[in-house]
Amino acid sequence: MTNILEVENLTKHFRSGVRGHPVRAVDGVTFSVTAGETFALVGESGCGKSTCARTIIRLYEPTAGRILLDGTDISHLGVRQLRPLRRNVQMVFQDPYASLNGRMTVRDIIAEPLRVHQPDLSPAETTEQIVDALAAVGLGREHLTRYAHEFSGGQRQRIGIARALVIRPRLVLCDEPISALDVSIQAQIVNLLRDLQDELGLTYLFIAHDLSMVHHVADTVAVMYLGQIVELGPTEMVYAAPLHPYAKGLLASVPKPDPAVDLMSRPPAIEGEIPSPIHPPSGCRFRTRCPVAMAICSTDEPVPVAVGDGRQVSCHLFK
Amino acid sequence: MSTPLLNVDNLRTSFQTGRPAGRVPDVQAVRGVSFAVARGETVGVVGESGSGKSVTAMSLLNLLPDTATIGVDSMTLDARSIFGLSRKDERELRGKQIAMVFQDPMTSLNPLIPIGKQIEEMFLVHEAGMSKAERRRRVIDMLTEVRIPEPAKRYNSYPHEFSGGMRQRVMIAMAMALRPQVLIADEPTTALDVTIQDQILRLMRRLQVENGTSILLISHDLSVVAGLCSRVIVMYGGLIMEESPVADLFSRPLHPYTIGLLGALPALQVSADRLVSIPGSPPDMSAPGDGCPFAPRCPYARVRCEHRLPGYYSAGPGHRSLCWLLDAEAPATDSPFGAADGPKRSGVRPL
Repeated sequence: MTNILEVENLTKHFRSGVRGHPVRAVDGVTFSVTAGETFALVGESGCGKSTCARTIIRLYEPTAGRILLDGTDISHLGVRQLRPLRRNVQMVFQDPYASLNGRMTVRDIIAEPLRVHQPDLSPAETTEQIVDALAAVGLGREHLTRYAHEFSGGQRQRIGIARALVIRPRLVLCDEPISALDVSIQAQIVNLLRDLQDELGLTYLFIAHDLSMVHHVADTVAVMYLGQIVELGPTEMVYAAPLHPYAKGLLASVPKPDPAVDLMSRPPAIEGEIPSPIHPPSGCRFRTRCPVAMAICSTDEPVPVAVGDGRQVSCHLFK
Repeated sequence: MSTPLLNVDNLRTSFQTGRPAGRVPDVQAVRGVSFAVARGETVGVVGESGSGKSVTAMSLLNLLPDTATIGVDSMTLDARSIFGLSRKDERELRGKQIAMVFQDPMTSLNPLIPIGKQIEEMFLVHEAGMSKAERRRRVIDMLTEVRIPEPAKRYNSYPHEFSGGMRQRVMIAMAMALRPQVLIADEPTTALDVTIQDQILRLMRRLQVENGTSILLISHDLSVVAGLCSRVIVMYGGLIMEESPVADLFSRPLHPYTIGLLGALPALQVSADRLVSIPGSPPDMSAPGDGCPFAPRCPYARVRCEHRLPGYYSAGPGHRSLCWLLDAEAPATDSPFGAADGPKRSGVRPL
C-alpha cells in the first residue's frame, strides 16, 4: 500500500500577544495516510486538528516539519510550484453557507477549479464536467443557473462537494463536513462521501469532533490534544479499547443513545478545561487533567510508542 | 402523573414574513402543540432546524419578536394561566418561575459587564429587599454551586475571560439563581466540546435533583436526550410527531420520522456500511399543506398522508404518535413494522 500523504513532525506556531510565547497550535505531528483510506483527525476545539489540515494543504506555512504528497516534499514550495500538485488535493468546508459565494451561480462555483487547473477546456467540455460532478452528488443540470442561497444546507454541501471533485482530486480534506447539518441530512452526506470514495477511489482526510460519526466513517483515527497526537490507530481498535487516558475520557464523554445508561451511572470522564496552547503544561500536555498522572509526566514529554497492530500511544504508561 | 406543573394545550405560533401582512404567507412555525411537564421531570424535545422546538419554548415565555402571533387554548404553570400576562406578571414569570438557558453563552451574556454583576441582576430585579452584601454572597454561592473555581475572584471577570464551558456554567447559575420551577434549556451543550458537554449535563442533573426543578431540554441530539430525559417529544413541521417515555421511544419507535432519526444515529449502526438517511429536506412552513408534513420524505407515505393530517394514536402509557400507519385500516405490509412485526402495533388505539 502506498502512502498518498506523509506528515513528519509538522509544527505550526502562530504569533501571540505574549512576546516570545507563540501559540503552539500544532506541535510535532507525524502520521501517514494510505491511498484509498479515510483518515480522521479528532479532538476538541483548540486541539489543532483544523490548523493541521490547513497547513497540510499549505493554506498556512509550516513552522517546522515536512509534508510529503505522493513522495514530493511540498512543505516550502511556492504558489506556482504548488498549483499542479493542488489539483490532487481539494477541500470540503464545514459551513456550506459561508463557503459558497452567494453571488455566483452553481455553474460558476463549480467551474472555478476547472478555470484554474484546466484553462484549456472548451466551454462545452467545462459544462460536461460540471454536469458530471453535479450528477455525482445527486444534483441535476437544472440547478446550473441557480444561486447557492436557493438551496438547503444539505444541498449546498453537495455543491461544495461537487466543487471539490470536479477536477478529480485524489485526496479530499473534509473539515467538519457535516457538523453544520441536521441529523437526517448528515446521514445523507456521509453516505454520499462513502459512495464517491468507492466510485472514484478517493482518499479522505477527515477532521471532525463528532466521535460517533468518525467511528462510522474512518479507517484510521488520530486523537489530538493541545497540538499533538496522543493516540493513533485503526478506528475499530481505538474505539474498542482506547489506551491513552485522554482518548479514554474523550470516548467515554460521548453520550450513548441508550436510555438504559444513565448519565450519572459513571464518573465524569474528564474534569477541568483544556489549558492554553501559549503556555502548555510541561512534560505531558494532558497531565493537568489526567486521572493517572505520575511524577514523570510533569518532567518528561512522552514519545510515541508503537503498541502493535499499527497503533501508537504517547503516554508514560506505555513503555 | 398527578396534576402537571406545566401544561400547554394547542399552541400555535406563526410569523409574519412580509409587509403588508398577508401578502406573503405567514410561516406557521408551531401548529397545534400540546404537552405537559410534571414536577421534577425532565422532558426532551427533539427535532431538526425548523421543526418548531425552539419557537415552542420561546412562546412559553413570550420571548418572540413582534412579527410572531401566538395562539393557545390554555397554557398554565401550577394551574395558573401564563398566557397573555401583564408586563409585571410576565416579568415575575421569567427568571423566577421559568428560566431559560440558550445555546450560545457568548451572545447571551453582556460582554461589557462582569459576570457577577450579571447574575446579581436576577436578585436586583426579583428580590428588591435584598441588601447589596447579601446579593453578592448569593452570587458567589451560585458560582460555587456551578463549580466555577475561585468564585469570589471570578465575580469581577468579564465573559471573554471565560471558556465556552465556563460561560455556560455562568448562564446556568443565572438561570437557577431564583430556584425556578421550570428550566428551559435550548441546545445548552450544542456549542460545547464533548468532555465539557458531559460536565454541563451532569451539572444540570445535579441542580435539578437538589432543587426539584422540571427541565424542558430542547436538543437535536437523541443521545443527549437518552441520558438525561425520562420522556421525549419528537417534533417535525411544527407538530408533535411522537411522544413517549424515553425507553419506549428507543425500543419501540412508532413514527417513521422517529425511526428515521434513530436510524441516522451512527452510534447505533457502526458496523453498517451505510447510515439510514432520510431523503429530501424539511418542509416549507409557509405552505405546510393539509397532509402530514413528513409525507414527502416518508418511505411509507400513502395518498391519504398527503391530503389529510392524521390524529394521534395511543400506544401504551404516555406513548402517542401522529401517523396514519397506526390506523386499524392501514395495511400492515407497507408499514415499518412489517407483516411479521404485528405485536409492535398491538395495543394501539386512536386517541
